[in-house]
Amino acid sequence: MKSIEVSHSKCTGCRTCEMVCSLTHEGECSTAKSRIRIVRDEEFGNNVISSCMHCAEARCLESCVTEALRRDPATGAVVVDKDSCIACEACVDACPVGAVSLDRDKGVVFKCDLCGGDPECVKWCNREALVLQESAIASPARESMMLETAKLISQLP
Amino acid sequence: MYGWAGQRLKVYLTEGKIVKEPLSEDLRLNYLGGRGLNSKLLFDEIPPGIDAFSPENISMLGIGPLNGTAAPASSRWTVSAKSPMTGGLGDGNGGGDAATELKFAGYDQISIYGRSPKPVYLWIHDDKVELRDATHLWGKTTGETHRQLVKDLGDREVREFSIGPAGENLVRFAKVFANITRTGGKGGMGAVWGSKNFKAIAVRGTGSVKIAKPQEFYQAARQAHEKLRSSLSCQVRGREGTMQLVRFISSLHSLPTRNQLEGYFEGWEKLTSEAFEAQYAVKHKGCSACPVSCGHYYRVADGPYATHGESNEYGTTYPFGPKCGIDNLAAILLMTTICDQLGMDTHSCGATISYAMECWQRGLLTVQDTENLDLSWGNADAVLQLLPKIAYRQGAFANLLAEGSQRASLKIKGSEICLRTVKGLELSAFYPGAGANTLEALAYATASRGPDHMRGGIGRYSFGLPRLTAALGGEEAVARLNLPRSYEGRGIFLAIDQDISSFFNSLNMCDFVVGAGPRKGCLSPDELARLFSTATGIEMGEDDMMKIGERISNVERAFNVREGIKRKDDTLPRPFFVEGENSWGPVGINETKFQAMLDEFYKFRGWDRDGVPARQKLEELGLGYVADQIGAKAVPDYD
Repeated sequence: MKSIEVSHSKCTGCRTCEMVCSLTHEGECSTAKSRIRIVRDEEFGNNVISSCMHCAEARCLESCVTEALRRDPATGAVVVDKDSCIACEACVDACPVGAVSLDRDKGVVFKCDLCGGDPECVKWCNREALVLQESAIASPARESMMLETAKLISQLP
Repeated sequence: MYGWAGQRLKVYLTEGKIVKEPLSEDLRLNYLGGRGLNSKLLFDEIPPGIDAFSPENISMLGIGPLNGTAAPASSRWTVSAKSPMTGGLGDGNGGGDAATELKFAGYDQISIYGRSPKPVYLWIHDDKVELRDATHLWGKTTGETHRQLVKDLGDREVREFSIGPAGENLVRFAKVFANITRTGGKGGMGAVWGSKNFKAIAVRGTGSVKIAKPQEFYQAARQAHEKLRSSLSCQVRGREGTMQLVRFISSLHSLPTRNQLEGYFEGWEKLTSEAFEAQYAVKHKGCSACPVSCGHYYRVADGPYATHGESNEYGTTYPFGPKCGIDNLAAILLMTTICDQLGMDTHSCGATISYAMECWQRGLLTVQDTENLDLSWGNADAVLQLLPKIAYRQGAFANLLAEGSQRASLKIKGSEICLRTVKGLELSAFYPGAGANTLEALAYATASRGPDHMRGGIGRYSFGLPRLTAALGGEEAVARLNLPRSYEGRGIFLAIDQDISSFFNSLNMCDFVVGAGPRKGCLSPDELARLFSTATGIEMGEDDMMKIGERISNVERAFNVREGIKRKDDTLPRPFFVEGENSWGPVGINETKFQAMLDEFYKFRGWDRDGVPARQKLEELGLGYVADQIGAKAVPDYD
């Protein structure tokens, strides 16, 4: 099983990952439609990478009443079944790092699906701020990384 | 619409009115965006002969079809107007990700007309666009403005373009700043905003850039990113930033030293990227979609020069370092922060101060004149005292320097000899007197916004292109471009190089990723055209891009000609024409041969001997209507 390990301090804030994520998932470039988000700190450069950790006990998954959020057995990623999603946004509220968003046009939520196991954002990152790691879904590192991201976002000016 | 957002915003400050207009196909296909779009609109909409600070001046902010996409380094925005420094075309482009946000909000261009009765800023939130009171922002630094806007608008992802106090006070070299430190607008674009009582544009966009051929565009962008990542020049730039140039330019004996009269600065080793990295670098910063990420955050932790900021560059180091004879990097970083926060261009600001220092050296200024400042070379503390005084126009001396060196020389008797200006603007970046710099000399003399190193020639974007070899008549002629003291082929080379600059500045791609020759190993016009075509769905190749570039170069020249800028203004500061020898070799440009280079340049361009585009050329570029307004001859007057 794979996960994306993020290193906030290495992120230059170029947001290439966002453009590429939206390009490959939506066919258009947009930070709003990206599954990965860079929260930029202009003044000091303390950028925060907000990306799904595909947590073992995923709060988004647990909050879903229609089982639209499921675990992909092949990659271990938490993915969205569009047909089951009722856009109630429970998962959006449940994620502490804002890794699930609502597409208002389509009426479904969207989130990182690990691009089926070969994430584009990792391929394009030029500073190794995003690295693909082999790790068990239940790895405590995933949970702590998620909590760290949530803390950093809350500390931003 | 693909690539472009398709909308232009017209903001009438006098009336407080905002009009949205579709961006016409003519403008999109013939001028692309950013620089080209702005320059064309300046020619069409600004009446000739107006004062740059009058409400009739128009400030244009433009971005291009690739902004907001995954195309590498597609981050730039261009701000243009009639320049209060040169009286001709003024513009400049900056990075960061404010342009990206503007595209996502749904706009390609903003034109700002008139003058507001009170300070205002423009708030753009997707479809919602409004002018808001900026009384509480007036007087604030760029950093304070950023923080206040984020607070007022309740969104930390708001991006802004703003001016600092220098722009408000009409300092003629005030610029526009995006995200506090990413700056553009040489020749006083920030002062034009100040004259309009216009403080800032705050923008938040949640839309998308539609891509015509997502898969092909993905491939083109992926290849471009990969090429840049493996390019040595990008790797060095990504590691060291533009500070790398201190060492490189010093090795060429072209560091503009002590008001640009010398090319070697004995203290250069204290100002290198290595010195910076070891002492003050915090982390890298990347502009939108940039695989290079050359920017740096910096911090001087303690001592008299304690400061922090972002975007220290070669362009902030040489103006206060070698040019003013200062070898204290911490002091230079503090000067950089002050210029960014107060909203001034480091190039012209440092150059104006180094001009004053030469005046002091020559006894043309006394302590009475300078209000007790000792302007000896290398006096960093005097420069630090002077910077805020200039920005706030405090005291008669600083008030005079706030006008720039050319205007100051009218008051400081006998000081014309200390000027390093062309078209009224201070020369940037290099000392073109030394060694092989005939090429740079011609570039400085003819750049449309005044003597500048970012408009073609110096970037050598065309090196390695078959087009250049063909125009020059073979590889030998190309090789001669690198020969010291040669004057051949420069005119032809420069025209092609300038046109490349014109079109990629209009795609609003960064200079640092353009130029496929051996020196850079970056992107060729063809590769840029492929990114453009796959994103917009409009098929264009290198020839089409070059034609657009040439059209833009010509419309800019026409703007300048209409303002009276012609051959007499395509020159260099007098001291650069003094030939001689120095410890490192020959210096100075031969004036007769310089004039011959100029002839070659005009002739290749289809301009007459006075540097006025001929009707024949203008019509070929679809600019026939321009000919009537600039007294164009039917054909150039060459034999």
